[in-house]
Amino acid sequence: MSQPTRQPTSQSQSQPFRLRATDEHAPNAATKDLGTPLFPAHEAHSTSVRRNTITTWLDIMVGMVRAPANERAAIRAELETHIRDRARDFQISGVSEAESIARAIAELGDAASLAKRYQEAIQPSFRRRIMLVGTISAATAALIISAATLFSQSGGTGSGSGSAGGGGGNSSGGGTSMSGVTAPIVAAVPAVVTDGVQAASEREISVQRELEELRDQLSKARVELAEQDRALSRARGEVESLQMRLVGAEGRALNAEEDAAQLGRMQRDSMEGQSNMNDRLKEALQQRDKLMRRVEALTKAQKEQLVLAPPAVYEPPVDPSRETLDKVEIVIDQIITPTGFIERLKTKIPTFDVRMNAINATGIPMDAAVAIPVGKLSMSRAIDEINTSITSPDQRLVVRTKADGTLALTTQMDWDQSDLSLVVYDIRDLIEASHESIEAPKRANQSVAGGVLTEMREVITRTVMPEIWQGFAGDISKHGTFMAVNGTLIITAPSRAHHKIDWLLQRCRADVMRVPVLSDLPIAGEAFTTSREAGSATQAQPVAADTVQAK
Amino acid sequence: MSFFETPEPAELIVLSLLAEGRKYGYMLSKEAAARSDGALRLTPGALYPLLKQLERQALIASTWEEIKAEDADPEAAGRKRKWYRLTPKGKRRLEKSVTAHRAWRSILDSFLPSGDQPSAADHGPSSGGSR
Repeated sequence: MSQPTRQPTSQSQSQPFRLRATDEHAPNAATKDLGTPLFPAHEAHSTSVRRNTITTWLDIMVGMVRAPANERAAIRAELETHIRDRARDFQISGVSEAESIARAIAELGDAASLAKRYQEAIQPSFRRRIMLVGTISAATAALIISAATLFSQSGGTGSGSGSAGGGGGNSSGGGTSMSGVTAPIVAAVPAVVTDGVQAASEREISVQRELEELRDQLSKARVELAEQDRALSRARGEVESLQMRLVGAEGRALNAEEDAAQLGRMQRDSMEGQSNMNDRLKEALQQRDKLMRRVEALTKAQKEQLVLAPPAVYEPPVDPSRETLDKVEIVIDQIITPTGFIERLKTKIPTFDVRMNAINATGIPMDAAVAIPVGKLSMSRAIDEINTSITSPDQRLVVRTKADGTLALTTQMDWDQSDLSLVVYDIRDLIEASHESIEAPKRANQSVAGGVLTEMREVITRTVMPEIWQGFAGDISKHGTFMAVNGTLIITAPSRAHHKIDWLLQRCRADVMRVPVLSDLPIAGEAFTTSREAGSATQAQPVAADTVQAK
Repeated sequence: MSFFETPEPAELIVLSLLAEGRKYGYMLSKEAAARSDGALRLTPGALYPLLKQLERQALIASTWEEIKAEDADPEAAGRKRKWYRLTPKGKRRLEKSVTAHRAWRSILDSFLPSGDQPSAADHGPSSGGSR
């Protein structure tokens, strides 16, 4: 078998082989010149024999491969590593180094055969191209021969009829034979065509295999695409769901923000309100402290005032007739009787109204002598001397000035009965003052008022002419009446009783008003007043609703 | 199944070994021999052109790796080793080849006599016709 001879290049002989790579399958494809010697320098020097053997063999083999330089460099590098690995294994098993290399190279076989196999592996399409060219050439030759045969047949017979045999080469009807030149060619055509058809069949089979493989790949790709579509659909559904959830979450977040803002406003308002309340509470506490201090001061002042208040003594009214009677003198020179005294009195004062019926009702013996000191004495003194013999105060003689200015002599009882008057006393100020002083609740006003009225009734009926007041059973022999309605006292009594009642009320007001009540205490910023003045605008004055003048 | 779909044994063995992980040429040769107890040998003269062909068909892919001996100079460059791995296309080809091989083996088994029965030649022409 003839081997293509290709001498190693001078480069590979003169220096360590350098690997050049230009495609991704070559070692370190990114590097054009790797600069990597396959044999390190120290090995090259120490094992020159080994290097020469391997290098020579590789140079020969690679030189026979028709391929780009980088392709050949890659083949060389791979085979060299194989040879060295294999030789090392041989050495491990006890074979010498030279023998190991020889065995490793021997296993690779004939360099030419290996190069041929490499060539077939690298350029498989080369054969196909040859086969295709052969097929086309054969078909072209067959057409040319067929045309030539037809042309020769039509030219030889001149009839134009007849047909050429399909592959037998014999004429079918004309009786003429092929020329000596075309006959062997036509005879060779079936064999060429058969070879071409066979090559075409092989190629068709190869193409069909590739086509089937491509179809399988396409089918798998479609399946993968369908799976990806389903996955994409699921992903879209999940995205939509997430978007819906996101929208819902955003809505809830907005609501939460609004709620938070509202709560914030409420909190701020509450804090402001709390701050205001704290300020007001602080002010109230300060005011309370001031008031407490003031109350203490006022209480102390009240105690001092109570201690310093002088005792009040009631002074009964003096009838204006007393002064007149004091100026009228009478001379007592002998024993005198009440009747004699009245006559002298009328002599001195002719307008004197002597109410004999009342005087007689007293039971005084009018004609009996009266023990009156002899001498000159005033008329008022004379009446006092006469009264010393009368034990009952109601029966004592009195002189009173009547409405027309004249004088009247009668008994005290008679005058009181004729001097009755109805007076309404408004004591609501006393009731309120009593209520506030005890700090009772407002709803208890009625009971407080009742208590005050009861107390006032007790005070008046016990200290002011106790003998004139009718009892609850209706003692008609008494002429004084006492009623309490809506904070007022409605009293029917003689004038001298009204005088004393009015004095008592004035005294009560003076005592009560001297004690400050809470309502009198000033609000912050107001001027403080110690107490109400007696007889102010709120003080009730006796009102003579209906004065009965029985003159 | 046609005859052309039956896989070539060497290709099937190489693709099967590379399906286990990446390997280099000499490693493939040793593993093939080890698994067959030495009965099967992928000679380098057949293995490396086959690897080149498979790589051309994109059934396998390769990468280079530098190797150094333990006593070698660290600064010096080492040798290059070519590692092969199976591509997705090669994996599909392997699956298809395995299926075809098993089917073909089943067909062959249907023609082969079982191990406990004597062969037709042992019984002579009277035992049955030729197949």
